[in-house]
Amino acid sequence: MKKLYSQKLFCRLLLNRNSILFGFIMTIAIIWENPGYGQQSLKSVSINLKEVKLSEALNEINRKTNNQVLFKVEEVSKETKLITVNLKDASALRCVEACLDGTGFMCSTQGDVIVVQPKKSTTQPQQQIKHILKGYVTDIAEKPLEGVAVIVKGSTKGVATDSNGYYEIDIPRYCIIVFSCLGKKSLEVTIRGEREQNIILEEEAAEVGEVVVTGVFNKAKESYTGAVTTITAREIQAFRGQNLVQTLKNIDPAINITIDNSVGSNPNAVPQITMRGNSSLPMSVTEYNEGVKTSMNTPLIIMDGFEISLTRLMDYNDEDIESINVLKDASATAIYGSRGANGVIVLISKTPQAGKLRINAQAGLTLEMPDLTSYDLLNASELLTLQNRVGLYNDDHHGVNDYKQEAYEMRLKDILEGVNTDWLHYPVRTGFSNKYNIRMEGGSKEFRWGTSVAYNQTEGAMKGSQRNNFNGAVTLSYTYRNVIFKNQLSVGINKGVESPFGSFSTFANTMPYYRPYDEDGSLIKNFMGLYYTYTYSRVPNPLYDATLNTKDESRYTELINNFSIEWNIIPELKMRAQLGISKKTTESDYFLPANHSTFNTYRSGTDYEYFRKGLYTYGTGNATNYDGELTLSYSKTFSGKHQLYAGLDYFIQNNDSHTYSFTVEGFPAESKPFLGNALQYELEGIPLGTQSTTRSVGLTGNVNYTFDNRYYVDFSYRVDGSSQFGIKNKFAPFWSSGVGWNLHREKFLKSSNLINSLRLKASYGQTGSQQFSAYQALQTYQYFAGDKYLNRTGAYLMAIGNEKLRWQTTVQFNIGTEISILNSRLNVMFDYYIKKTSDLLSSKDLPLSTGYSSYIENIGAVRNSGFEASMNGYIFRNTQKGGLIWMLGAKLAYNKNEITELSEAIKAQTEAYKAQDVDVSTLFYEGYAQNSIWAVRSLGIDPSTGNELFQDKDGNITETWHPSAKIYCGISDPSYNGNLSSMLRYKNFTLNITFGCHWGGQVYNQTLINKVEVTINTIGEQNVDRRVLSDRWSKPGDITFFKAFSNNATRATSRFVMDDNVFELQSASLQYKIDEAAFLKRYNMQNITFSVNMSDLFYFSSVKRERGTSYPFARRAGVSISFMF
Amino acid sequence: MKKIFLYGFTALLLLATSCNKWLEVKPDNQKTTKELFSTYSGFCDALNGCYIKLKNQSIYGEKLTMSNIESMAQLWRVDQTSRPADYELMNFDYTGDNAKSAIRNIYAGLYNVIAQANMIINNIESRGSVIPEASTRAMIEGEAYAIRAFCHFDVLRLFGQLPKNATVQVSLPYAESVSSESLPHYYDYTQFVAKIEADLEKAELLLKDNDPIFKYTFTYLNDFVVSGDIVIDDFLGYRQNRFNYWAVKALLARFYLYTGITTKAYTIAKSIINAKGVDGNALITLSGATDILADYLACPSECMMMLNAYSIMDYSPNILGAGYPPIRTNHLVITQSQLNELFEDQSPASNNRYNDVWDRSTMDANGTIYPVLKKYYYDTDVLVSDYINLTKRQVIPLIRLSEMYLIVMETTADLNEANSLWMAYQLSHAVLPTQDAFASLDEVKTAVFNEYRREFYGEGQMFYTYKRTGATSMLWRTITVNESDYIVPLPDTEYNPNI
Repeated sequence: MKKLYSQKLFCRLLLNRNSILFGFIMTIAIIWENPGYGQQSLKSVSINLKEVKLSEALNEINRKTNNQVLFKVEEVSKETKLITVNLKDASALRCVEACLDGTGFMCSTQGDVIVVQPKKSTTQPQQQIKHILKGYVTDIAEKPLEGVAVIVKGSTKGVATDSNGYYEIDIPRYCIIVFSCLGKKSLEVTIRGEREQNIILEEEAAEVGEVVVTGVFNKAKESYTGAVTTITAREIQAFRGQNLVQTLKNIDPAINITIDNSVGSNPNAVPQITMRGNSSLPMSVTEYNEGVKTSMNTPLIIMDGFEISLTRLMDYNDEDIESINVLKDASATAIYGSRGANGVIVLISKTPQAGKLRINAQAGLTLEMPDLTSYDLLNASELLTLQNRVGLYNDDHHGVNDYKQEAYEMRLKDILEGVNTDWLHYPVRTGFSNKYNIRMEGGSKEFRWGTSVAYNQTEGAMKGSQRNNFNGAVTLSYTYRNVIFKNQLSVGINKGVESPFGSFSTFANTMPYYRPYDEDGSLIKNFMGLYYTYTYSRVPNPLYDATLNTKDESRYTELINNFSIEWNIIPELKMRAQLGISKKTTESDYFLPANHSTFNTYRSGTDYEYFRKGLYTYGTGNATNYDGELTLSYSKTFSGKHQLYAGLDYFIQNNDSHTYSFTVEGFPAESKPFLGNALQYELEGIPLGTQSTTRSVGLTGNVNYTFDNRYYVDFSYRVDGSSQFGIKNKFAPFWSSGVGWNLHREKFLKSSNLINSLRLKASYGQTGSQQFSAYQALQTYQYFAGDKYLNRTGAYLMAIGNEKLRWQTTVQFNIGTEISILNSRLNVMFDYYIKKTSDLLSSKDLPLSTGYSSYIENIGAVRNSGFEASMNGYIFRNTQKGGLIWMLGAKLAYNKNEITELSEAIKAQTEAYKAQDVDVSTLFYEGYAQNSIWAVRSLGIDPSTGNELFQDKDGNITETWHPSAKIYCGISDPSYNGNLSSMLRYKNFTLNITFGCHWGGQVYNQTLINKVEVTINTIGEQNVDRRVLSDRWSKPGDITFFKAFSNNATRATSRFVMDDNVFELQSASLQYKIDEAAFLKRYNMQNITFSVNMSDLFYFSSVKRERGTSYPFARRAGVSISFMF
Repeated sequence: MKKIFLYGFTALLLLATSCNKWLEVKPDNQKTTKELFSTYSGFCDALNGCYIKLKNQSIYGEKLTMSNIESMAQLWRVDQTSRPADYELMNFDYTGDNAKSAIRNIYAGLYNVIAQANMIINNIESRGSVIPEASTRAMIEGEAYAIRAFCHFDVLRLFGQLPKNATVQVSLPYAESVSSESLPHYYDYTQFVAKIEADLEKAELLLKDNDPIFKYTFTYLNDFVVSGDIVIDDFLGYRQNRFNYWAVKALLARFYLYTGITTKAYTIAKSIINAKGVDGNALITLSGATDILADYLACPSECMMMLNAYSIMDYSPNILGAGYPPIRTNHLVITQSQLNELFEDQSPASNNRYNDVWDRSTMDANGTIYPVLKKYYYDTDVLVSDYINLTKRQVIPLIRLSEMYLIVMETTADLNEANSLWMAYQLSHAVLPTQDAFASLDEVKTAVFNEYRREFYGEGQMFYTYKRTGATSMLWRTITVNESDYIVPLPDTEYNPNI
């Protein structure tokens, strides 16, 4: 046991998971290497013997090699042959072999010793002694286990597995082999002449040696009090989605991706993610948006100690990732202080392994198939009928009626000729996405290297839309005595191209009675608008614009270099210094040629406007980040039972960024999209730019004390200084504390057969969030860009400042348990949390008479509480190679958001709104969630009039919509997010399936309003859903869900609040792995893996609406192949 | 305990960082209020910001001069599909979504300008000492007060109750500070009117003798920057484009006329007509004849106050159809017969407005003639010197001398005086009066009323004229106009914090 401790401590001192593995191997090597490779360490000797007895010869060698030759004198003295040998600088073994040549004796090595014994026959003894056993050792998840000790029982003979889990050992024909590894159950295997043995080691209950990588300090999982989800490279492979963010969500439902019905499966859309509910509100005031990141609730993302953006995470080469740790509670995130309130995602990239060159190559192909099943649009004749029915072709104004009637006749004629265009299918396609990755690594123990190159082209379901990523990385590490130098360089080159077809909605909206091509088959440029004769009422043909030489793309190149030095000053004390630099350049192009429909209104008659046709907007940006970190950690075990860990971390960061963009115009027709072809800068146009600099420093202290591996406490404290904190409070403190108890180490459970592991832990702490504009507390003036009065520009007050603004803080309480029972067949994890954010910042509505519509205020406090639970169990667990393994898992995350406290001002304001019937965008009430949906209770559509009937605040039935009658109708976030997964492995097949679901929330179905409960004017402008014709009220007596036709938009009504329950197949993959076939050896390959991946295959929702309005959703199916050399 | 940690760690941090200043980062394109108002130039920029906001299309750049407000006065042919907001406003359908959003924009725009002016007013007291000249300081403050009063006055004219015989009472917010805490107070009609009056008087007092117009003529101040007079501060130029002393006086006359204090309106308007400039000549003269001849169709030379809108040719042709043949449904135009009706009691042939300010040759795609208002149109290919663009072509009149003539004619008790002013007035429009004199003051009033429509077409005055007189009918409107039609409801988001 004591040995185990010291090894664990040794591991803990090292910085990340990989180096721990490395450290572990070294340890193992120290123990086991000598016997296996002992003869190589024998001294070289020189002997010169002439006609001597064998016994004398062997004695002579013994004399020179410090008694390494073993023989029985009685046996050897019987040998009559005299020996003559003359060797210089030969190994002892060589010398002995030379002496034995032609005699009745043979030799073999056992450890350092050369054994001489009589030959039994001429060949057999050789075979008997050289019995080689080989094979692979993996864990349950088939992940190769490195550093597993493979020992012949009862001897000191043994080897350790390499990084592929491969071992080769020379053993007696009949023996017992013991496989053992820290954190795994030891396994004894009886060998009866077998030459190959593949082994699966099960987890030991008390996962000694498992480490939580927090990105700052590394903590042994057994004494870690934080709530964390660890995702392995293997899980990433098994549950792959369109990008890494999707994959994460497939694995851990606690990572919540906000579903955006408009962007669909656009590969260029960056999703919004949150963990454990929203604790910040988006502030609608556009002036504040500068410097505020797209989403207030995005977790912090750290890659190898360096902060990266969500976009970078999305584009990252997932083959380069060793593991991902998702830190959730205060105990885990307090070390990130002001940045940690939204949770932290820590990525660890692969560290090269020592040994001979290893190559890992993958190639994959994925199909993206558009899913248009939710669309049900009117056909041409139905639409014309509808338009006519709502009176769009009649007018009593200035004789316009004639035009309208003429337009009607024209269209009717076309329809009778058979025009009925299905516009939806023009912009979509099946996208073919490719992915290639090659990774090489190798090196000696001192110097190791690893390099990877990956190319990933995602083709979206809309024609021309794609996202290309090139990722390259080089990692070098050099160990000199007790110092490890490491440098990681990674480059990401990205190009996102938007479809030339533009928004999908344009096609969904285009009238089916327009024909895209004329009789000659050439594209029609413009259609006649609603009223045929009006020259300027032209509707551009969206297909025409798509054929033009347009360009809409953005690119970035990001270089990250991370250099670190780790110095093990003494075994207990370690120092680590890291310097990271990243540089990102961005570029965007937006080009419309002169013949694009945008310029239809430009008059060709005047030269002036003629030459203005065609535009090009070019944007460029640059972001440079530096960060430096110095970590000191001390770890020691006192008198066997007290373990102390202390860490101190100093962190400094500087981020600079700027962007510029400008527009030029006037391109000759058919011009190439090249900036230099422009005739002039945009008329009245000005260059735009943004600039921001943020700086922060932080000092973190962490102490962890464990008693007897049973009880442990954890305390972290951090002070952060940031340029974003405002003038007065540049420094802010953050802290956390946690306790834990390993019940399974108590006497009363130690002998339990049922419970293998039972751990309880609790933590409490305070963290912050920096995702706010630096200047929002200040009242600032901005200069008008591109505007003037007389000969002078001017400045205007951007917004009403709030000097009393306080930073919002989040305190979080977490209690959790991890249970493993029935010989680890069933594992359960449960965390309950309460997260309270006080001084919640929100934009508060103001009456317009103040000059502004809102300002930023601390409106109160919000509480997120909920639980995360996961359970997985083995239905079958045959750990023999090729045995049947079936594991089922379920994860569930529940979150409840509630405003617990509101300022008196907000309450008074809400009362005033109610009393005076004021309509505002956001309403806050104590006891309700931030994202509550407030709408007027609808009593349905009055069958006699077709108008909607409402219940007013006094309970009366009315036709008038009063904002004061708004009631709580639901919450726009699902309460429950869950997934179900299944992993089935038999022989070389592995099948993984995950289903996702969410329920307990509502949605305000605006898409349905936009497509069905449309205004009359809308029907004149775009195609609509079939239900407009069939389900709208049209005559007294109609009992319908949708109201009568009118030109007044539908206001917030409970009629459109719908339960949002979704069940979907997130991903399914089937893998076939070849690792034993003969041809593998021939090509020096270790294994080949084939896999088929599918994602988003089906989707059931209780909300019926068109999915993917600007970009359709897609189903994905792909194949990939992976080679390992 | 907590504090010990905080101080300890902070001290350690500072030790390591060595410099607290490293954390001080300031934005490049913004200034705090304190920074802005720490220089004279900052005050100038803030004041100029007010004017930039005033000429925004959401208020006086378009909606309160050319489109929305004139639709409410029934002056345009409005197409329902392409101009839904104007259509709803024309029909006084204030509950329509489009009308609501239009009203909201106007209301928000006016109060935003007021907030900008209030920032100057609230800061000049404590920080105004950075302005070197006391007279300049008074001028800036005076203009800010004038802007605040001007906007509030139009809030009253648009959202307020009828100034006479009101059966519906309306309280309105008068904003005097910029704060999220003390929201603007609501005042009833009498109090609100008193507030405007007080602000206008304050502005008048501040501008009196301090306005550069007390030293130089309008003409000189319009041109001196270009002609290179380096003796005067640049910021003192272009007084016709700013709320100068006389603009405030004219505003007072308009205000008294609207609120029914006709004697004061009369006195002030008359004093403006008779005022002498520093060169001893008339301060300002009717310029209808000369300006229109020179193709300055908005009569800039007689403006007491006009906005400079340098981008007017970028947007006004799209709205009013001038220079944009053929006429589309979204253009605000009238029919030929309407134009004839407009000038019915005139001798159209010689009226320079009928002949020159209206283009009577423009047609839609079908060949139907729709006369368009050319007031805001100029030929961009004709290059002129800078000050001509700033003060003659790219302008939107807010108050003109013509209005002072009409005020005096309407309020005078002396028929002869009315007749003689009418003569001068008509001559400036190249009209030979068909009758030498009005027979009664009532006839004068009718003529003046119609003249408001003709003179200020596209300048947003006619709706208020109807409202001021409580008219129950409007030209080209077939149905009666009710009191409620005159009272535009406040946006849905507004509420009275005092109740």
